[in-house]
Amino acid sequence: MHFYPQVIQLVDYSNLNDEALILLITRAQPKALQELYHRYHRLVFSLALNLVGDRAAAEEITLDVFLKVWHKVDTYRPERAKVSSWLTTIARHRAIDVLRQQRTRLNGHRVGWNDQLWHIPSTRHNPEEVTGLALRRERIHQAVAQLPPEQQEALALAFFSGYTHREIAEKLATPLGTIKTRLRLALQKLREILDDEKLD
Amino acid sequence: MSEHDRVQALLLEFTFGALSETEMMYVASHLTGCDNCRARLEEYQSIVDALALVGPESAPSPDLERRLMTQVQESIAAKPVEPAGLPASTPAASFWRRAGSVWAWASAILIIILGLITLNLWRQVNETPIVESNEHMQAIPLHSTNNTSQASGYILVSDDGQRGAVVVDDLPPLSVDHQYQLWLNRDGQGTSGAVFSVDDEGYGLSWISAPDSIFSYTDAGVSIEPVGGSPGPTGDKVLGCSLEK
Repeated sequence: MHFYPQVIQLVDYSNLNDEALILLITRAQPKALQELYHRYHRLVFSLALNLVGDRAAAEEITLDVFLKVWHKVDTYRPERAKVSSWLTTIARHRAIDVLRQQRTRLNGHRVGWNDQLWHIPSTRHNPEEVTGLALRRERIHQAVAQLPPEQQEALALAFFSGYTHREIAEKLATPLGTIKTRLRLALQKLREILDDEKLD
Repeated sequence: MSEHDRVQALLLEFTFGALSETEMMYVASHLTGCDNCRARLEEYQSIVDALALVGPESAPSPDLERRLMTQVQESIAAKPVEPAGLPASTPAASFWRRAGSVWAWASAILIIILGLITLNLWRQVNETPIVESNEHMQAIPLHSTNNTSQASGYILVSDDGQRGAVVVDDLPPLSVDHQYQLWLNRDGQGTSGAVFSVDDEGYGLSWISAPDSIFSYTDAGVSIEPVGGSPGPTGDKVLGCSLEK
């Protein structure tokens, strides 16, 4: 591809979709990674911060996530997940690893749905983006709030702490089958609520 | 209990990342060959993705971007050619390797198209019979055969004529039983080069498949044909261009 380096100088990366950026990352284009970082660093960092509760640790996780994208971009399976899903999955798994290593979840940071605040800081410059994201967050918040308390509790332990079903069952002194049912019902219910809202 | 049943039972925990590494690999291995489990996983994953938006949004320190890019540049300096290796053993690697040559060329096409748009050269290209996008590629405008139509397009061809793509804009979307077909014409004979549809805005893109160099044909045209294409052109020609240099 002899023309590639010349042409690539002409590209406005902000016009490329996520998959195109990933493709360019496989071709060793750091600007593509930088654009991906600009798009998703807040999402990745916020998720990590919500999970580990420590800014320094969350920054390290964010750094790890984007370095993994750079070094392991070949592990991305476009037929399996959106790029944003891939990033949040890496971030959550990495954060759960950190929690496990630090054993924080045993006696330290503990997050539940009620711990979350529902505001968007004014760090974004695009009002439409702020509004769209705020609405989406609000919809998800409301959807979670509609779940029965015992489903919210199981979901929080699975999502924020990465507990296995068995660990959740032990922690809540509840039969394993009941925990599995609660989580499955919680996800089904969330899907129904969010799908209904899409139709509206 | 079959492997499928075992994986189904593990899918929720897989989605939450709560399995051991061995279990994760076990599930991932099954997913590669099971559409049913992949569909279920996508359902779960879409909800877990949404949950990622829960909570206040925060931004890392501005210094983090500098640290990231510094490490990236260092890795380039250490491995200047291949920053993203393709280990032979992973399914992902084989996916990218399989797709490699196509994707490489596709990316170039994509970049050229986006580059043209970005630099507002689209209009300039439109006014030129054949434009050298660069020394290795040509963008040949397709013109509407109907003066009242705003439809337009390009045939993008590598300099050796062996690879090409057709991109169109403002073509009317067709019913489900019809598609557009690109014809490469020579000596009064039309050879099918691509069959494609357009989106609601009339935009479509397809690779060109031809037995000979695209430049061995004298002209090209796009017609409306039954879905899947026809052996020879039967419908109205909506776009056309000369391929003669």
